[in-house]
Amino acid sequence: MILLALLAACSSPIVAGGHAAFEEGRLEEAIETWSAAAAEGEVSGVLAYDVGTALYRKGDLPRAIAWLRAAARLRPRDGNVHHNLSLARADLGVGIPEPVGPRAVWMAVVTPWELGLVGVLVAAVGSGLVAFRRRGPGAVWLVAGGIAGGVGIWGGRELAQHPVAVVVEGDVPVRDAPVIEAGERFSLPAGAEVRIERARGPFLLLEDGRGRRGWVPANAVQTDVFSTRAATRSG
Amino acid sequence: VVALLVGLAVALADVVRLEVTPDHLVEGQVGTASVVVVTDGKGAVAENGAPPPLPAGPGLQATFAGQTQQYTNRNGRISRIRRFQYELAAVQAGDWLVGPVELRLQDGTSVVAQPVRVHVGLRESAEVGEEVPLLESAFDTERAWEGEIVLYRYGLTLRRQGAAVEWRLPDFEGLRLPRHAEPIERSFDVGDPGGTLTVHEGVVPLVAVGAGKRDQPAATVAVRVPLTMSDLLGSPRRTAPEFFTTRPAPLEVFALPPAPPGFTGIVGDVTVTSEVEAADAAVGSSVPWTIRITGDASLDVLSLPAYEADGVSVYDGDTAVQARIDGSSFVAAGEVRRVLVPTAEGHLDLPDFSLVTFSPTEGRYVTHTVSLPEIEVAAGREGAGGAIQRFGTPAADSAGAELSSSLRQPYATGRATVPRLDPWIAPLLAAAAGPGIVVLLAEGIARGRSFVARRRSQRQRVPAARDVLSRLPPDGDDRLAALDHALRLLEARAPGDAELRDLRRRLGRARFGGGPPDLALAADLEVAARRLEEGRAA
Repeated sequence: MILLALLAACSSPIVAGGHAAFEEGRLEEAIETWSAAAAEGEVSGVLAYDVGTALYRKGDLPRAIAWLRAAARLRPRDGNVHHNLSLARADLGVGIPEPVGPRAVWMAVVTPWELGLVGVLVAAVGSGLVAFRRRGPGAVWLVAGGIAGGVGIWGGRELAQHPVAVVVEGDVPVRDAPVIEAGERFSLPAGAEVRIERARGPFLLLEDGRGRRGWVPANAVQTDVFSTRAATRSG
Repeated sequence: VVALLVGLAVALADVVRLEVTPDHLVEGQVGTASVVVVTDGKGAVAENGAPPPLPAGPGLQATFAGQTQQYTNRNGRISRIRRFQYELAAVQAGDWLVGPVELRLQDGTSVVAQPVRVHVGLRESAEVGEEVPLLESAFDTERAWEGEIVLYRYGLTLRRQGAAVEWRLPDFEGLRLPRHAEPIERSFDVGDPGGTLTVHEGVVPLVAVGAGKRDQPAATVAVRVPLTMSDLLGSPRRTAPEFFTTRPAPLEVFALPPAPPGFTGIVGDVTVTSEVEAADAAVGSSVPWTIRITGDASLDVLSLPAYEADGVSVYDGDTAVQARIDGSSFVAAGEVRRVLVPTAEGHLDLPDFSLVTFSPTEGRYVTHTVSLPEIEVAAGREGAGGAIQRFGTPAADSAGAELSSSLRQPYATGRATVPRLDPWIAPLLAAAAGPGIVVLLAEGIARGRSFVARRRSQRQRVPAARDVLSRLPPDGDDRLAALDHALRLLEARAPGDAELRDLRRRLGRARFGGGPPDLALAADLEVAARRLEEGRAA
């Protein structure tokens, strides 16, 4: 009962309102409601999943994949997210390059801030043991906490600097220089999931799942909404 | 081997190659020459199947011996390799050329395999006996520069065929293998009036990485000669290995003089060429620019200086390097691809591009300058730059896509936005770990100080009995007290020792018994001290 009460207290009316519109078949209204909330602050994994699911239901598969990738990053252990993301990828059909994986293997299980928080707790336990004159075990816990926290901090920075983006326009030419009339190296179909390496003016240098690199205009892809500002700052 | 040959042939633009083994013969000996023709399966070479004529100097006689043919598939590209083999008989001493070989292509042009120089020695110089093989190992030069490629050659010539040969080479301290070239090792037969000679030889390309004497110790080779009998399985039996040792290989490596600005790190005699693939372009379009470096240098780190010019932006592209041992020399070819993007309309006069290498043959730095062509730049779509257009074909109308009925539903509860915790992790971690780290550090410092103090006190030497005995006062009570001190030190070291007990009695008599002075007491104590220091019991 207490847990339910806490959940109800933490729950946002925006999520519930959008869900009601979704249930009644008003997809545009649901997407509008959730997207407006996302535009105002830092989006949650729940909201990213809801928007991605609604876009999938609407039939906009590339943008659905973009939101569901963001949800998968924020809720890596949520089976619903991975289920709907797999559905969207499958419905796009063949011809889509292999999606880029997480920046590090452990990100498929835990988010950087979760790992960082674990590191903080472990380090706090280590400090407590040291305070109670348990020097050996305390040092081990401190080192473990420091490593976990450090890896978590590194992961957060990596995701901010190299977010995943999804091509939302069909067949975007990937060029060998950050100018519109530069030579075309290859093209990416809508729905291709790529990683952004850096930004230069209005162009992004990206790498696809096959390791191919090139420049595309920033407005040809939808970047992970949680990391967009950091990515465009990094260039 | 075939794939490597095709790769090298394609990479180094060889359609026809001439190989001669060996390049040193003696009058009356017969070597082998091969013309290798690599085509892409579409008949790029307009040959009719007849062996190409192989010109040879008057001291050599080339006779066609046969041909082989192979097809290879390399990354989906079918290549045909035809090998025309010739016997090369040495009839007169001297240096003679074999080749060149010219083949005409279907497009009317022709490709040429460069000639190979063959040395024919006098018959008297042949020293290979039935039992004693001819051994050699040496660098191709005894003086090299830091960063230069040197070739270590080793070889063994036997008059016994079918021998199994196993080399053990030096460790090549102060030298390293280049990244893009591999050592080669091969065996071949040479016809000789005294019986067929079998040559086992190899070449190791090495980069001199450190200045100084880099003499390499001898290489050893184990030779097992086949016997006439076979074992039960039919495999040839071989004798126990006979070991032979070459001479040490001298090499001295000199440090490079102070490098000028723009030095690329390339040490070798190289040729630099440049190719810009368009004479006119539009603003914002990309013009490929390729810089090629060929020569005998190690191109492991192919990093060229930046190039900047008004009216154009330059972007780095791919880099490719190929290297191989070609006959008696090391050949490397590198390509650096860049992209030029004109930024202004009009006549673009690009300045020359220069890079600095070090030439070992000249012993100095050399500046290579390549000219870039003038480019006429027309107005492009980008105009003055800035805003970019949405492009690409509109997304396909996927509204009609069949939706899976297994779609999981959205969440009805949950937070819409969450604060980012990432910026807080580092300070929280510092706050959590800080107290423990501070305590451990303080304790570690205290332990360290205690350890240092303990070590310091241990270093203060406890006086030994012999030290006391060496500083005995001349006579009187002070001398007896010093003897007592020395004896106590000895007793502490060996309690219960019989000789010490006797010395204690004698000292007691001398000190308190009122007897005559015991003049030998000090000497006996000295003997006992020496005995105890040497660890002997009484």
